[in-house]
Amino acid sequence: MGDSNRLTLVASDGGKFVVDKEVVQMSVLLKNMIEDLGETDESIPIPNVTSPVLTKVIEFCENHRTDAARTDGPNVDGDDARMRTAVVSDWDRQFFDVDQDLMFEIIVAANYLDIKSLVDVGCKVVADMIKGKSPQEIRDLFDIVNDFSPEEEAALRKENEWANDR
Amino acid sequence: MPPRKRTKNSQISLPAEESAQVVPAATRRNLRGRRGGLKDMLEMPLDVLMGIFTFMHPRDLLNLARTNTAFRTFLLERSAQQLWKSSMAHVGDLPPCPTYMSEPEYINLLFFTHCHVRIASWM
Repeated sequence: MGDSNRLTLVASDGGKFVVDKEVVQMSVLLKNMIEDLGETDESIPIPNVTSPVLTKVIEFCENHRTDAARTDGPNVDGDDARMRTAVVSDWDRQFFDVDQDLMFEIIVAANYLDIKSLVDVGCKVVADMIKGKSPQEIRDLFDIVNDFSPEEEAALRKENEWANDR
Repeated sequence: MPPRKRTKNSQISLPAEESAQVVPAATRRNLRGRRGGLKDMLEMPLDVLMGIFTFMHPRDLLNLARTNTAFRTFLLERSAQQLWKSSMAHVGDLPPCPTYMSEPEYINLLFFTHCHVRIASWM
């Protein structure tokens, strides 16, 4: 007999994580899945998420479990509201102080699992990394290759029309 | 690695090895260590991408649109217009974009300090 307040999540590489149900339910995807399954001892496979990423996602949810009673309720926030409400704490910043591949994998996993607070914090962290940087600084930061021809680069400064009017 | 004899036949029969020798991308990535996420950003789910853009200042959007052709194409499609509008709405106190200008052009005018008007005729 398992503890009915805890669930086992299985990452894509087979790693198993026993997590409080309350924490799991911060994922709207998993919350709905649990409701569909009813009471069960079966573990829940998360086929799109690897163990290192799932470890981080669970760490975030455990840390934010108390402030996240808001996953319920109508999801009517427009993008405007979202920008104003996303607050990135020092803990969140520390949390995302990982290599960029992992950072983006966490955000993509959070999007897949539908954990809005984690998606928002992740997106805000990325936006803050870009903030105030020149194009070259952004390229250096994210290893983006400048593939503009000299003519295109000269034309960049004009910004006078939509690239593709349709 | 010894150079391969290049005949037409060997080039056709060894495409994998040929291309394996010309992969600066992988090497560059190794050199840079922890960098390298955002250049694949355009392959991320669209809602994540829009989530990131949503949190960005319009000036930063314009700088991102100047990094490479993929970002430029994405951000300067007319379909991205709403994104620019909402990004500008966050700044507050911006006069509305004149109808004869695109949002990126307007942001360029507002936030970038070089001369915008007919540079050629000055010289």
